[in-house]
Amino acid sequence: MNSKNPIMLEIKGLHVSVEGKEILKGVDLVVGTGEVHAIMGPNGSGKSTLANVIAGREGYEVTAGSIRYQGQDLLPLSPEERAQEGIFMAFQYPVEIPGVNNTYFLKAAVNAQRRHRGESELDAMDFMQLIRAKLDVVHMSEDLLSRSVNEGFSGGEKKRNEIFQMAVLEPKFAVLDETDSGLDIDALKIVAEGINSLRAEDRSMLVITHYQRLLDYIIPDRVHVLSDGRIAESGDRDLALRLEKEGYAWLREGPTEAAQ
Amino acid sequence: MSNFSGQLAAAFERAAPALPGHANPALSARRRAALDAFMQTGLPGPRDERWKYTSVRALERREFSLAARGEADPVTADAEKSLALGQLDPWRLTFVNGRFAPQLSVLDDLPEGVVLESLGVFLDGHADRLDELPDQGFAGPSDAFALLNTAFMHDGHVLVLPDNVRLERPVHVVYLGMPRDVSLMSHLRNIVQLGENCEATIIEHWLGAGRENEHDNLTNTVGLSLLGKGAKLTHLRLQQDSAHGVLVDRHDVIQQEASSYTAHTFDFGGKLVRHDLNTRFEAPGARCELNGLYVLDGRQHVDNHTRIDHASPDCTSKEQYKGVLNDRAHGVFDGLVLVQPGADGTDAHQSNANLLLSGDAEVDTKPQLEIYADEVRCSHGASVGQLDEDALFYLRCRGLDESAARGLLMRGFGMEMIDRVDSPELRQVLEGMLDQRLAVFGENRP
Repeated sequence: MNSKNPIMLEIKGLHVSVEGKEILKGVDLVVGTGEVHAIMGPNGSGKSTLANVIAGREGYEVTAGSIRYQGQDLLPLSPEERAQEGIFMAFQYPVEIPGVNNTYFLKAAVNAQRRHRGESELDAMDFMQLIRAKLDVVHMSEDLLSRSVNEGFSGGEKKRNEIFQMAVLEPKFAVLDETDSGLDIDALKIVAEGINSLRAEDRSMLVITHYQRLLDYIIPDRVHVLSDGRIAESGDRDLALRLEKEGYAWLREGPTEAAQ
Repeated sequence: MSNFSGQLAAAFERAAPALPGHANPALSARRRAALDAFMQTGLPGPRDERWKYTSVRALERREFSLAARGEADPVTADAEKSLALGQLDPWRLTFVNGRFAPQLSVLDDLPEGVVLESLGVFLDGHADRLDELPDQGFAGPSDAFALLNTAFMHDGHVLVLPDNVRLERPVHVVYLGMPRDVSLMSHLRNIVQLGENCEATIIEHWLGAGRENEHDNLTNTVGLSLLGKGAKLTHLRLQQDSAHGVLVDRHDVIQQEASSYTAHTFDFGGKLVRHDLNTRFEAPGARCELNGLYVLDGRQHVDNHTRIDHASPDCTSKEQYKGVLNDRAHGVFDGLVLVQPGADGTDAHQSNANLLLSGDAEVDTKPQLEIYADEVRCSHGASVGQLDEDALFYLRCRGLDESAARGLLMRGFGMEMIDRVDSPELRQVLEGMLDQRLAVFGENRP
């Protein structure tokens, strides 16, 4: 796997077990700085496991292999250290947190990350200015800011809130875990546009999706197909189109000649 | 007779001649009868179902001085500052160690016809007008602390609103404890009567100043609120007693047609606290909402008993109490919703949710529904759990460290109850109190 750009994330021979069951069985992946990679694959192929391991969720046991992020060993870091170093995961199922005001939460997150970088904390005014400017990214209405985190949000609002948080936190590496799931076509467009507007030379993204549909709007630099815990195929966006046409069934027959 | 009872009997003989309203023979007789009744029963013990989880036996080994009448104890500048409630400009009655402190009270510019006074001042001035105050709802004979309160009540607050008065400012009643070299016992009686279509907000505030106080003060507050037809009372109850404070508090509410009573009980302080909050619908179409939050650590013990009596049809009650318990704290929730025969159209919902943050913390929760009518909608439930792991991970993924994430979730758990308070100014005050409470949360307290 070659990448013209300096390496942002490098995964080598990654084996991961959950509750004693091996889910990832040797994943290799290199994402260059500024690149957007898509991970596709059937249900149960290990897509979400990959996302959760990168984010640092407990209960995902790495039995072999490594993940390096900006040249640093990622695995010993706690989830918050990873976030502070610039890793962001947009959740497939954003968690509802009653009683925790969206703005209050975001301010705590922004300031935790600023402290880590040795920057001064934002006061209430500067912070409001920052987040108001970001609302447009996903056309989010301001009244969602004063509500509890994700509580009572529609499916679309939850996903928009994830991308909004990404816009505010400005990560270097974002994992978008099935951000398209549960969205109708209008919401999908808005979210995709938001994600596109956040593409940058110094920011990489890993877009995890079951359907090709999202990739009509977010054109990836590379597409990887995850199957039974391994990357079975890698290619450009044509690979996604092919999957759309042929489904995932052909993967079971092993890599095709064209892909080799 | 136990040592405690003997002490009380002697204290009564000394205090009686100077208790407010002593010139009124009926009141004096009532005091003595209440004392006699108390002597028969004594303090409740563990066999009393209502006191199963809360032991007051330790009180019997203490020596208490009765908060006699006279000039209030001096108050430090810091303590005086702590009386302020943010941006609010309330009427205020302050009792320092049980004694009314006029210089710390604000009673000017009251609307015409409104009575807002200290009970002591009222009884001294108008011992003959005792009949003007409602006599109902005084505690029954089995309630030991209410009997003691009737015998010894030396002060408290009186608020009487004639029909159609809406109080624009809240009434802030502060029971301020200042450190003393003895354990003090105070018995305060509070009487609130709202005429038809009145509206008022009362903030009862148990506030202990000075953590250095090594003495276990006993504060015994007994209150009655009568809500006329269409009246609306918001009743905040802020309990920030000192780390050594013992509080026994009973409040009865009697509601007429289409009246509305909303209580928000916040227990942040105290060593041993017992609340009894009882409401009764006397006529149809009334509603009550009982909200509560207790945030406890160290060896704090807080017991909330509530009773909602649906004695009339078409009334609505909503009750939710939430608790956060750390260290070896002990919380008790015992809530009875009683739907009487004929109370059709009752809508009653009750819940109690608890976060246990330590293996040594304990909560006893007992939500109870007793239904003797057919056409009703009722629900109740209780939960005891830990912080949500998924929510913790979510927050940590945004850069909050584990302790900050836990703090934010605890805060959110409490904020849900604060968000139910209508007044933005009060919400801001409460938010500050919760933050202050959680900032020292889990530090070793006695």
